[in-house]
Amino acid sequence: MREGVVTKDDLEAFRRRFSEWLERNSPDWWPRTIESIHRRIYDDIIPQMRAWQRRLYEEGWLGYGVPERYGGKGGSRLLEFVIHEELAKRSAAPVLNRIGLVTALPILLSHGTDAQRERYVPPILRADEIWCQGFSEPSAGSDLAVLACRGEIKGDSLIISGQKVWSSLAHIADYCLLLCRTGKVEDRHRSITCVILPMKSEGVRVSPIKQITGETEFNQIFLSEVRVPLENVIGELNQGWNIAMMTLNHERLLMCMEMLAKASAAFNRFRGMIEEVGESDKTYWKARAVDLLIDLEKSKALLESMMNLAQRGEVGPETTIMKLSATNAIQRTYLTINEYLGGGATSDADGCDISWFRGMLWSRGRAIAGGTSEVLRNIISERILEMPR
Amino acid sequence: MRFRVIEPELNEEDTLSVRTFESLLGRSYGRTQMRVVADSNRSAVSALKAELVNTGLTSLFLMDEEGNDGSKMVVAACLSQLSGRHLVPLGLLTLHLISSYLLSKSIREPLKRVELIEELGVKVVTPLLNNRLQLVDKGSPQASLSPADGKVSVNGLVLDLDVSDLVLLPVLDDGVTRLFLIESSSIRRFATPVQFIDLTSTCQMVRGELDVKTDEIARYYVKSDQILEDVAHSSILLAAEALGCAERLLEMTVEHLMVRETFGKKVASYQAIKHRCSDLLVRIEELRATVLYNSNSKLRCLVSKALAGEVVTHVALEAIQLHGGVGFTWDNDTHLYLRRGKVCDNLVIDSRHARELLSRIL
Ligand SMILES: Cc1cc2nc3c(=O)[nH]c(=O)nc-3n(C[C@H](O)[C@H](O)[C@H](O)COP(=O)(O)OP(=O)(O)OC[C@H]3O[C@@H](n4cnc5c(N)ncnc54)[C@H](O)[C@@H]3O)c2cc1C
Repeated sequence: MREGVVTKDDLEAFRRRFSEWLERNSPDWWPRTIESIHRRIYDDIIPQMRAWQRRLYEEGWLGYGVPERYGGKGGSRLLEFVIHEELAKRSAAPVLNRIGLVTALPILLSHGTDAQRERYVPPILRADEIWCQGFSEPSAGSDLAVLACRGEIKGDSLIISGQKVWSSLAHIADYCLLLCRTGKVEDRHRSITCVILPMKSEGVRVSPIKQITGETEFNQIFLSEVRVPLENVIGELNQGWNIAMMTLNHERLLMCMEMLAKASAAFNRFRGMIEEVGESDKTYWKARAVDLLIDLEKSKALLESMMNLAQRGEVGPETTIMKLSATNAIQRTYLTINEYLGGGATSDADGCDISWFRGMLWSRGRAIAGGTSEVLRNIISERILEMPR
Repeated sequence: MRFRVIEPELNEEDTLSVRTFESLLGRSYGRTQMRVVADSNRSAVSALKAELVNTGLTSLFLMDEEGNDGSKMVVAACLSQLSGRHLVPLGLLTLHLISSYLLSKSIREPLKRVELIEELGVKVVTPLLNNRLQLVDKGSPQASLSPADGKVSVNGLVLDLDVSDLVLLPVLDDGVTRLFLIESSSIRRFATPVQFIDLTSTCQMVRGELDVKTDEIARYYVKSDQILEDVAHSSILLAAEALGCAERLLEMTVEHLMVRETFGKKVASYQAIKHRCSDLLVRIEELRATVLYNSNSKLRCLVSKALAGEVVTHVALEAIQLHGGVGFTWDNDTHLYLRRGKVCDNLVIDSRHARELLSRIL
């Protein structure tokens, strides 16, 4: 998808305007401590989060890159990325319908029918309908092309049976962007179809999975002969792979923007912490902070260069490099802070802060979601360094 | 083989400048000539110098008065990066660019500048360093002026003195550091060669006394209140030089791995090897980003300098390992790049100093 043109200055001016607005309007029900960043999406705050996204939309901060007739504001999608980044940087409440906005919406715009766009895009923007993504399966993760979830064509319907796993937000989702097999498994990515699955359909069962952080953000989805009209197919039958892969680079870029925003916020707090260290330890911890600063700055510089490519609509497999870099920055930041706090991050006793441990756990997931670090290294060596498979 | 992921943002004119240098190197300083230089035959260096001065690229930082250091720094970084790829003697390009940047920052009067361009436009300047290769350091300075007799005592190192026309002296003068510019010829008589790890540059120890009053000295006598600041900025060029070394090392390594076969298949097809190469590319691209996207900020320049030494050393050591026995041979170029990389790590502002300055900014 080609971006609407946007210059660096445009982006920065937009960022300033939004951050001023956010300063005045950030919701207070979302506590601005580090803990909130990794806070479980509790069912009891879902209505507030919905309202928050709707407000962002109504105030004109969402919908960039989306034509006006579908409720958008036109322009470049990168403007919206700035919104996600600023929210992360300030530990403000994030956008609830993230998968809808970041994955489903661009796919609908590029491959959906007019009817699909008109039907699904506006509620995505307003958080009236939440989306999840059903790609991974128990036996198809890194090697997604062997996915087994079947889609049989019967009349004007697809009958879908199978199992999906690690599906973030599926427990609250109204729709799932689903990949299913509509041909022979041997055809790998050439027999995969992308379809809009209404989560309320008969035969859909969602079972939450508890994560190492203790939170429940992702789920299993069991599908048993779920009937979905063929008109829910996005693009052509068996063309789902390319459609699904299309948004990957942008998703990665956004993930990295958020990781670095969070890492910067954590680093700034760390900087404050070490100001209070006794003189004898200060030199050591300052040196450790310089290590982190270098990790962060190099990754931020890389992000700037990627944004530059993205502004020209040229961002491609190099986002794999970006993700390895940003993952390193966030993981090292949390590890160092945990090391610094020692026992002070192991409980929530007086003067202690257990959330840094949870943050460290959360950061491990960054090297798994959106392509594991090992798979990214395969991609870099094969596609960029052109080493043999 | 060339993997380039991030590109600099250059206008047409600047792109042309970079291309000019690159084709010049291709013509006059290819690998064969470089290897001859490494064996201490410096004739190719003199030829390259003559052509380089002709291009006008050496006066990059002196050209116009007003600002725009940022974009010029990116051009300079691209030149230094090529210098690193081709192992051009440090004194010929990167140290010259650093010296002329310092001069351009110090001389603010337009007339003086015009004078300087005329003088310097066709000359190569190299700085006097202390014995640890630092340009400004906390220890005793490499040059100091004695006001009583107007003599400048000099005790330090100069790289590639054979191809330099002028030497930039950071002179301690009544507690402040000022920049003096002198003819190289006046310093050559004190110079004795020392062994140097970088085989494509030379290193001379200079120890003696210069007389400010006599003609051969003090063409310019410029004050720089913020010399450390300027040095910090210009050290980005050494990061660029190291970047050039690192990217060339990875290319050489992958080229070798694509040809070499073990256990019946290309070494490049083993995943353990592929992943190591990918990690090298990630680190190189991070360095490239800090060099090319530094927004001319002191922080980014220092980050870049501190990072560069670490990255180029790591890449060079991996390159040696991944070449196997060949990597341990004199004829293989990997050690030449390791040598250059180690010098870049320590040159002008070493990583330790860069980190210390960063920890003060923190
Ligand atoms: C927090 C989180 C949220 C997620 N959200 C979603 C979501 O919303 N929707 C969705 O569809 N999926 C989601 N995922 C799933 C994610 O995409 C997969 O976990 C990921 O692709 C890895 O697949 P896997 O878990 O099956 O691991 P596996 O593929 O089984 O990998 C196991 C290990 O083997 C390594 N490995 C695998 N293949 C290779 C190879 N060829 N070479 C070298 N090493 C290899 C991996 O790197 C890993 O270390 C989420 C994951 C996480 C952690």
